[in-house]
Amino acid sequence: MRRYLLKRIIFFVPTLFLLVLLSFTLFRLAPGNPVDRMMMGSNSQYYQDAGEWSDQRSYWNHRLGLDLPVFYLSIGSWEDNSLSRETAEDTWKKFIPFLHFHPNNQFHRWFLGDNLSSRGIIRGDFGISYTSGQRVSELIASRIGWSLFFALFSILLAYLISLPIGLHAAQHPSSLFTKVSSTSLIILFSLPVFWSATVLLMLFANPDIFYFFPASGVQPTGGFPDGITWIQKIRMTLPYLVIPTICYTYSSLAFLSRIFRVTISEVLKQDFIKTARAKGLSEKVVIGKHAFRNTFLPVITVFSSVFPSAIGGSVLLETIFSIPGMGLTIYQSIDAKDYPVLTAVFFLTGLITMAGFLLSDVMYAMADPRISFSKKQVS
Amino acid sequence: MKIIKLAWESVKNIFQLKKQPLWIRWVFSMYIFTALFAPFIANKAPLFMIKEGNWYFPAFQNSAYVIIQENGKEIAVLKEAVNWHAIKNEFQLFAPIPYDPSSSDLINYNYVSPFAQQYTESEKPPSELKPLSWRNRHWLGTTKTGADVLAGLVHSTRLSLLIGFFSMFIASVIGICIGSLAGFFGDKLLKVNRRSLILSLILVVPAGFYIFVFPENNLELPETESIPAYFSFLKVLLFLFIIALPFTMKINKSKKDSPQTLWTIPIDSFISRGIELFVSVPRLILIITLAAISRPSAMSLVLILGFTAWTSIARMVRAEFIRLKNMGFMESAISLGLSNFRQIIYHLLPNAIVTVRVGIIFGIAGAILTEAGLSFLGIGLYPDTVSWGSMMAAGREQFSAWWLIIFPGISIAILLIMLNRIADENHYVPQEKPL
Repeated sequence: MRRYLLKRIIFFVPTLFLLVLLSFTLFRLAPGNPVDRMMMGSNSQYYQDAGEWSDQRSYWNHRLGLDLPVFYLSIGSWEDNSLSRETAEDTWKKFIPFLHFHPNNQFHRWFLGDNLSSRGIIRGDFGISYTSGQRVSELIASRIGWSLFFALFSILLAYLISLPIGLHAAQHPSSLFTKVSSTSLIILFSLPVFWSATVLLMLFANPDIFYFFPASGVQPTGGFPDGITWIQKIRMTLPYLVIPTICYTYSSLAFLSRIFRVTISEVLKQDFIKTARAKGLSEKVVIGKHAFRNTFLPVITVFSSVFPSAIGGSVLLETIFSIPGMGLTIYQSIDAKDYPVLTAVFFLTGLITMAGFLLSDVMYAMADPRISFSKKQVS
Repeated sequence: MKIIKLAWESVKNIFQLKKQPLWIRWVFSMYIFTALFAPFIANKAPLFMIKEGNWYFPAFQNSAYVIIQENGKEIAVLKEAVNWHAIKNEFQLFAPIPYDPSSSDLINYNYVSPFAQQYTESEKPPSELKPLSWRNRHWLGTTKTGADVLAGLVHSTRLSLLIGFFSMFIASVIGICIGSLAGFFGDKLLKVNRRSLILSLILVVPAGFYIFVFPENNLELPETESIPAYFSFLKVLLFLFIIALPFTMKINKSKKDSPQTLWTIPIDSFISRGIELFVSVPRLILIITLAAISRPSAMSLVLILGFTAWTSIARMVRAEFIRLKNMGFMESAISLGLSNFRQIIYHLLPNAIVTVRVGIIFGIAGAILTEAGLSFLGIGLYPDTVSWGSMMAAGREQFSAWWLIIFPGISIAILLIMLNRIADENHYVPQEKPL
């Protein structure tokens, strides 16, 4: 058990490093020069007289470290260490391959910081957003609230609804309710969530049909009126949340009840359930005490995916309802090609998912001792 | 030959259409039929026409022009622009839906409902409108520009199925290769000659230099536009080939191979960690970012979806291989001395596919759903391309045009319900073969 955990944690470090590398590569692959983007954001005349800006440009190139080599190692010829074509002389040395090492490079600065303009992602500095000029970490902190709220609230709601459905379906596999619910859940599962969101908006937020709920946003457009208590604020916000909550919930509902049904019916086939029944325990105790506990293993896994999905947000739903969360931020940054924000979201989501995997593996190993043993048996 | 037969068997095994209920078989074949023959179901140009004794098949011609003989002269007719109804012919046979998905109807534009009266220009008193005949009716209404919704649905079925099937084909190939490597060899079985490994690692530098760096810096290369897109792909293939060379060379089979010269590669751990890394990357964000970076086209979308979807299949194949390796028939296969390749291709894969099919079909459904979501956001496909998602996005701008939202939604929902139903394990009855 301890060995398994240790192994698992030791493997975590290189995977994390690979994630950092991957985020950096994606960031570097992005088309367009960051300096151009930054200066275009501050000055609209930039492209008309780009020649006058060349000093500025080279200054920023140098300041941001874009003139440095990309990574620690690079493959080049023996002769040119500077990676530029002009300085390489016509000698026989340029035909010889050579592995160069650069102690000061872009990745190093991006990862660990340079004590000048950035402090490196290892200290939580993801740079500056091209569009708003805000620090990316501040931007994310200001936007994550709504995404986190919807992710948590909808998953709780989905649990509360899907658990009884899954339990009933596993206990009475041939009842009418099971057949109806499983068919309708498959249909629900198959409906594209952006489609049902649009249809719900069309039906219930449409002045021509039913105008029950506002169509977009999470607050009145002009902000809250002055001098109202927080209870009134909540009451004013509630109508904005109804349709988004339905859409957020139902997409995970079908998935969850499926998982519950499969796991519970797997558990009910096990020997210890037979033993419990043979002991003469009532069905309530068998289900509630013996079977129910074992269904919580997959629940751990699913719950560990809540936080990453909160960081990633639901791009489609938040765009449709214009909820100012992470998903909308991602959509807007893609529209504006705001790569620092995208890289930050990418890296953070990956980091939290991986931490979630680690945590759920540890919890699994604690909850189910067979996992560490079975590992030994296989190898 | 035998492998091709095996591949076809496994394709049949994946969908298992013979075991599905009748409605699924019908709906499935209807979707496939629509996808295959979309240009002949909805096309502005006639399928067949006779003019002055000559026969023409304009819908079957791939070019933008059709050469037509009129009064002894040859005229080039632009397919997009010409009004085919106005051409005087002896005989004309139009497609069942006589519209293109993107061509605009200049009279029935600005969201004409399926139930509304639709008009056409009458011939006798010019500039007067008469009701449109049922043959040319827009059965599912029109968009803002007057494009026919039904024609759009037909063509986007083709697009969606193409993206779904091809991306999942790529994903399955990658996933099966990687998953079977991890599952078959595990952590202990893959042994590599030390010399080959070191030689291959050393080869990385010269191969990388002469293939990628040297031509870039020193050769006079033509403009980047004139180099075909697959050229860089070929370069990568050549690079991989050179790196793989030491493993095929004779040094691998020298008689001196003792446990000291063989290194065990824990390939299973490597691949599992790699998959974990890949899974932890938010897939939708990765797809959106890649789609925003790359040139918008169906081809790049297929590649992006394919290269990001293989993980679930690789995991399934790996788990299934580990399970199957402990079974009796594998023990006898090993004791018979079958080669690794034979064990994988003929014994493990056909058995594994029975479980993996669920992942593949769910993957197709997921790819179709992702494509629709992306085109709903306006990412990934070329802006003019008509697809289910882009039609819904057009409907979102005008809620009174309900037909733009409902009909694409229904067609995608039926497709997904059907795919999910085919994949549903609860209805699967394992086939029992006599030994």
